Amino acid sequence: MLSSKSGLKGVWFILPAVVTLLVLITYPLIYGAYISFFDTNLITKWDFVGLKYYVDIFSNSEFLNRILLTLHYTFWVVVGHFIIGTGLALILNMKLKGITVFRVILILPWLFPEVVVGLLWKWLFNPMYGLFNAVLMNWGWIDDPVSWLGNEQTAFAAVIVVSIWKGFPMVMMLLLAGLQSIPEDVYEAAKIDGCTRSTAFRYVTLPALMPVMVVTLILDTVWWFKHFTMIWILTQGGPGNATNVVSIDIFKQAFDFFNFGKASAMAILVFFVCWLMGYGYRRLFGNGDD
Amino acid sequence: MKVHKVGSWIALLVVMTMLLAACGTNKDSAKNGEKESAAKTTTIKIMSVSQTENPDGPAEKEMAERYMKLHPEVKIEFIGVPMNDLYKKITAMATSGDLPDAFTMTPQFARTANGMGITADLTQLLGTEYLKEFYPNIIEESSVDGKLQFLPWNAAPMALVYRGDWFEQEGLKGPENWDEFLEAAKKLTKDTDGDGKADQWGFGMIGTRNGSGADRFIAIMRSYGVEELRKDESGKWVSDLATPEAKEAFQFFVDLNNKHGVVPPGVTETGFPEAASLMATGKVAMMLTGPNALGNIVSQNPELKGKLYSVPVPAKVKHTATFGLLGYSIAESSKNKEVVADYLKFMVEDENALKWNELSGRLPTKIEVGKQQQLTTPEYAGFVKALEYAFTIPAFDQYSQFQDIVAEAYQSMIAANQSVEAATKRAADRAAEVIGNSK
Repeated sequence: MLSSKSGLKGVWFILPAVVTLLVLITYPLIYGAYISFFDTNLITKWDFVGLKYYVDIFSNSEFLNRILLTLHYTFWVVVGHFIIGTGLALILNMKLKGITVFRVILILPWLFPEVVVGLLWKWLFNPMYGLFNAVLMNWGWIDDPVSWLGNEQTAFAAVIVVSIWKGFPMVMMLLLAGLQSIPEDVYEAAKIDGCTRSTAFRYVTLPALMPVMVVTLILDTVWWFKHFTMIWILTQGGPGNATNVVSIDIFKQAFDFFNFGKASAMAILVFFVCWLMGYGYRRLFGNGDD
Repeated sequence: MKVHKVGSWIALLVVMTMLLAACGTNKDSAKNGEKESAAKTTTIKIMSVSQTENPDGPAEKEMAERYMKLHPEVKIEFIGVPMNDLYKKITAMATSGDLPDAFTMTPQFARTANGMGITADLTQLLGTEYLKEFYPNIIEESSVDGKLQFLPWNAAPMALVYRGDWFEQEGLKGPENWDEFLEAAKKLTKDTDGDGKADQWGFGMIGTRNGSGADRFIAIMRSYGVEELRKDESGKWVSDLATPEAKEAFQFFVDLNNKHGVVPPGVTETGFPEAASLMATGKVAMMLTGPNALGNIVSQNPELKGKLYSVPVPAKVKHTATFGLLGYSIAESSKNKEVVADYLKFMVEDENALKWNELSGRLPTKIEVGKQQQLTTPEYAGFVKALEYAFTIPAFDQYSQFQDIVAEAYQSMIAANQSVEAATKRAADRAAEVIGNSK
């Protein structure tokens, strides 16, 4: 049993973390929720409107459409990350010659700042001077340059492709770390018990990897659900509303239309959507450790 | 031995301490000197959109340097911000209480800034007598409720810039109306290298979903006699976005890309910098823009000097133009209001305004300077004339939403082949909602 003196010591140890959490997470959250009840310009005007913005948001289908579009986008991005990330993690886990070089190359997209990635791909997609059009026209696959980011269908797909390219290394590295933590003995025991490579993957690798996968899935889903930077650089939510995901809508409400109250209400709802997704995953897959 | 070594170390430490102390003394005295001169120097910080543009940025810096030479006690520091990020940056800095002494301002944002209480009343600061030196309509456009929000530095009325040399070769004249415009655009869209594909287009259309694209379309729409926002006879805000004339304007704009193919590919991705580059590289023959584009284009391709002509925005029922006013507000929180005001006065002095006009193409705002300027050349004639047709931005707090409303409509028609009926209905619904929320 801890004495009261050592208990006090414990408080001192956790105090920096508690203060940091309060200042950087709790305060902004509460302040954001507070703003959502006001028609405000954040400086001189603070008109209390109660739940008006929440009622506004739910009384038309706009916000719901944005959430659905964002879920659609997030689904494909996360699926892409897991397919590519798992595949590459399995390859990188093999004891092949020169594998370190590939590890370094494959992590590069994650290391580039999002702004750089957005601009890079915007140039690649450019209908006048972009590399993609030049190559496809050279091969005779298209006759005229395509405005990849200027067409409703292709813009959405293009944004997903770029997001998959940018984000797969994180999934790859986390899963690789998970794979490397599985002891060789378990595989040897499975082999003795008659497991083939595929059954070993099914009965050894996947269960052992599950905790890492669940955490990665939650992180990746929430991260890309809230994503803003690259979509903003590539399309600014356009053309029309083709890529107008919820983060872009919130940004526009706040900084283009100066509806800070409504933007905050939308952000609070996104917070709950993200929390629900995390909760859903944990219910679906367990906490991954049982 | 050990005692010996310890003694040596102590001696070394003493010597080093003395040396450091000596250095410290020198540094201290240097610091004191700096402090003394800093005490005499007033540093003013200016957030400027010109700093992100060429040739405007270096020219503005050069002007500030001339002022600093005349006033060695003043130090001017610039914070560059792109035009499309200006309002966001001002808002963010204002909410964190970190506004610079002065910042770029436009009539579109002046009302919001006034509501935030972040702008000093320049009518009081500069004096009504001094303001009589400016064109009265420009002062009115720069004011909110009789309070001057920003000193109008220059005007960039919107007009149609076109390749005069290409027009002459084709026997065309500057388009007066949209029919002549379309005819010219079709003639100047051509395959110049014989590979069977167009590589030169008639019109450098700006179709991005932001203020840059929307303001241009709004000018076109107003030439059709349609107002995105106006007060009716009873003084209520109304929008004409669902009228047949509005539909005609949208259809015409979108058809330039979707039907006539007289604009380069990727119109929804083409903002002002891209369109100006297309003109500089000889890819497009016309673009709707302010006179600042002339400086921008010529700085990219000096061979185009004298080849770019201008006419007012072609008319359907009338010519139209935005003022394109740009100036500096002084922050209410600034401790150096008088110093900043003096610098702003310096910027619009005759010599500086004319020099600025010559370099950037933007028009001066003072009456006397306007009389002196040589703006009768084909490059500027259209812009000067356009000032006659300039309309005032509606004094509506949420005006920026109307820019988004029209831009969403034309992008939906271009990129998703949405019908003009559906696009204008949505635009009208959104307009009604915004007007309703403002009550």
